[in-house]
Amino acid sequence: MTLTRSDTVVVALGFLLVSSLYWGFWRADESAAELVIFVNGEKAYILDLFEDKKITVKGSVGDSLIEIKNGQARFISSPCNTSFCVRSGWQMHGGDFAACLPNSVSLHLSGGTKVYDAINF
Amino acid sequence: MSEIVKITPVREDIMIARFAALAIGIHVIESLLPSPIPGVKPGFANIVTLLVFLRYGLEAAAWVSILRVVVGSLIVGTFLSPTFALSFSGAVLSLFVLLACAGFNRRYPAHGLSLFGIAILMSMTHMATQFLVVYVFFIPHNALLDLLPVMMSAALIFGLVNGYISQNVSTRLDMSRNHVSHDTLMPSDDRNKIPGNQLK
Repeated sequence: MTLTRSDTVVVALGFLLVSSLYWGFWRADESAAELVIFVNGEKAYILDLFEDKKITVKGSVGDSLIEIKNGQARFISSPCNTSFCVRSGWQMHGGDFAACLPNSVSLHLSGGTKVYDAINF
Repeated sequence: MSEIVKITPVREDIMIARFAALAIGIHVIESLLPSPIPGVKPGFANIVTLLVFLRYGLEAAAWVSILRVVVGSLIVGTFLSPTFALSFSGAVLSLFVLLACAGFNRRYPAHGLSLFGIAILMSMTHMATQFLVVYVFFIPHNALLDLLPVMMSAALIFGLVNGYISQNVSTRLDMSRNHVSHDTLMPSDDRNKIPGNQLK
């Protein structure tokens, strides 16, 4: 079977189109842009995720230490027994979420594309 | 008193009916095959359309393709259902692509498309049309767009397969031309000159 020059062009364009579709629709979600810290259910801080800093947030029990670095955020410490918040580690995607319930402090990442609507524990 | 209109089929009509029957058979068998994703199927029936196009021209190919969609859906039981809307719109749009290909080949006979290239163009057009119809009329939700790359990959793969098959079949049928340099679309004036081709 011989292909004409036009056939080759069609095949090449076909592959190009399909791969650009994957690139366009299946690219990994962009990371988050903003960190919103809730204290007692109210927005207490809105911070830029790309400005590295450590921040102490006063919650209902004590102080939670939160670190922001390279577009990620985490709890370093919190005055709770379970430390779920610390152990949930770095949060980096839009919609990611970490909370210290005893201290009523939670981190919400916004911007980028949300991967989850909600998470149940 | 009403006059009885009798239509005598000419050779061309019978020929189209036979090819359409072949395409309908393939269409029906294919519709019985399970598919991992709704809307993805091999589309082997288009091989018949392509071969008819190469041998008898665009008009005959259009007849075979449209008859296949309509009668095939009557047999499978999807006539006028969303499924039918999808295959009908896909078939019509890909026939327009076939028309464009025929025009291209007439204009640039030296670089004309073979059935291989035409099959790929038609299958991708068919899929894109289907997808557009689903997105606009049936499921206008952004989540659907995640399926588009998969659907178009399937279209490309089956286009390659169908193109390979039809190109090989056409060679074996001793229509051993590399590309479709002619288009035997017959003007209707000429059609009427064929004895027995008029309505009686």
